[in-house]
Amino acid sequence: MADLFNRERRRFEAFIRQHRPALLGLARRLCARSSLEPEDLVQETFERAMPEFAHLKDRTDSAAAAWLCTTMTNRFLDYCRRQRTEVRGLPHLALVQDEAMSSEDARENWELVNTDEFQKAIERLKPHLRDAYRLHAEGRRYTAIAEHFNVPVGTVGSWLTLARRDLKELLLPQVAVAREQGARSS
Amino acid sequence: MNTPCTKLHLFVDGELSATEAEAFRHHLTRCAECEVGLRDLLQLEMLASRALEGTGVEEAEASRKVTPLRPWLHQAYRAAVPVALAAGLAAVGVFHFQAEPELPGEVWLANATERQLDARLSHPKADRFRPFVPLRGTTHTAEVLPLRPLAELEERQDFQGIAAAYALRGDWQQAEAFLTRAPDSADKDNDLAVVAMSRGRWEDALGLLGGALRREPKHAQALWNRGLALQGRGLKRLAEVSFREAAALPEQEEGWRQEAQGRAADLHDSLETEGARWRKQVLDASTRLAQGTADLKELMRQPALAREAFYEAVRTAPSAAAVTALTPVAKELDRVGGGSVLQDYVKDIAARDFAVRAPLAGDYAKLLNGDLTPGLLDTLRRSQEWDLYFGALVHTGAAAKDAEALKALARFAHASRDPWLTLLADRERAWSDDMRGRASAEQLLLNTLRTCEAYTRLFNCTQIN
Repeated sequence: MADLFNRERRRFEAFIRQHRPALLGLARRLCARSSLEPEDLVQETFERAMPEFAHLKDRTDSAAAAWLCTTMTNRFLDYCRRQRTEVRGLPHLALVQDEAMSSEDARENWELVNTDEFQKAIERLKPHLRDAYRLHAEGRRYTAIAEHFNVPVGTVGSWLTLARRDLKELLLPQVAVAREQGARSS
Repeated sequence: MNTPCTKLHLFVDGELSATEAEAFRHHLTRCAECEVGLRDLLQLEMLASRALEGTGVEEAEASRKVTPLRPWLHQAYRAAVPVALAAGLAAVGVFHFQAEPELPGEVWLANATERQLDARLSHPKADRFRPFVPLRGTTHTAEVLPLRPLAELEERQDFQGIAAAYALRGDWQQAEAFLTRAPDSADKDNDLAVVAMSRGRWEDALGLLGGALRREPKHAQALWNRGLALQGRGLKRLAEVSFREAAALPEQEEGWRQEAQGRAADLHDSLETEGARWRKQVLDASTRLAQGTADLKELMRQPALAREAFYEAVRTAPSAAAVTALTPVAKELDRVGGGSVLQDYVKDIAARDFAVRAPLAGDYAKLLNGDLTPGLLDTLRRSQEWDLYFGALVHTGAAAKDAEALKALARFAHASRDPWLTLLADRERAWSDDMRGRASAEQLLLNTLRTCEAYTRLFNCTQIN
């Protein structure tokens, strides 16, 4: 019994260690200039993962990451709605819809893409879009990227938007293929 | 088109201002399209983060100590969640290590061989001495802030550390935002002053630094920065004093001590040079006025110079006629300045007994050329020639050491109704032994300087120093 306890605990610890940095990075950006603490958002997300861990632990890394991302997005949207109702003095009725409104589609698409495919996709971007996106992923702000390329800050915004659009276009056909294969094999 | 939806990417990247971000969060709750966009974008970013950055930055080893789990977690989940998993979350999810690992020095540009910021930040890691090399052109420091150590700092609530990292890279907006989250302290006020100085808000900076120095009178960075802010505001003499105080502090890096001394010496030299140049200009112009060779129109292009030269010409005039001859200058200066203060002054002095005044005026003229007749100040104090006494006190700086003389100076200035004389009397008061080194002296000089500047071009405000 004690062994089982420890094994489960270690697996969950490993799961948190694996996904926490990426989630926290996203949370920091989402919570920037708000009263919401990124650490709280991430912690709440892992709390939601606890009752689901029996299912999550056997899924692919991509699927688990997509699940965590969706859950954190839900928690964040929940916060936004709560903030809005507090500002307006409305009852918290909207929160009830929270789980129901979560978009399953986005998660289902992304959980089929793995990091290798992403690596290949980013190599196919135009060089300036790829480099800008890489710098951005390293955590640099628009101003820093603008200085790096010696372009206006607004240009960085457009490059990143284009990079994301192209990445999505490169990755989502693969999603469609993967889904087809899944349908055939089932 | 600039609808809120176009800001989705900026929002996800944390690039919106606080107001814009709040507006966008509101918009998000009403716009289904943005919600879908947000979900999509976050999934892509999550994938990118995993693919490009890898994981494992926070490799919590079992041996590391952690703080207890947050109480609300216990309340909400104790019953519902398997104990093993809750323990796992407690061990990994909450990262407040008691033994804090060393952060990479690049956060505070540890490898730089020179510094681009002339001000000093409180954070010890950001305050290592390096020779100051002013920034040329627009190239800012190429070293970009690494995000992960920042996250670590944020978890430690070291907002000053984060602010310092941003400040060193010239990102003042971010620096200020993090500083406001730091608890009140002399260090915080000092760093906020550095932010104010980056925007040329010298007086705001001085207010903050005054606060820091009230809390910690020997705050090395605050004394240094006060020197910079005073210099920026044009109060070079006080700036010199502040740098000398900074240089005299014990237990500091030799580089800081030497640079403080160098800055004090430069300020001193610059004051001397400017002062000497100004005195020569005044003396030349007053000589031309006395000789009747001055081109009044030309002279009035610099009303401050004309005014000082006029005072000296009246004071050194050997006869009533010589004083009366200065009436056109007085008239012209009064026209520019308003009122009839200088014409009244000419009338008053022209009516004096020159058998008594002429020898004193001669001694005063010698004083202007650097030759002080022994006992002159005493003689003038006992005489009725208040303007000569006033001028001699200002020239010799004697009023600063003599409370009675200081009072006389203020009395004469008030009686003359001449704003410039009042400004000079206030300056001398700020420099008196009684007020030296006090915050109120700085305040008095600032007020005097502001008043002086309100009389556009009428006075030479660099004299208020």
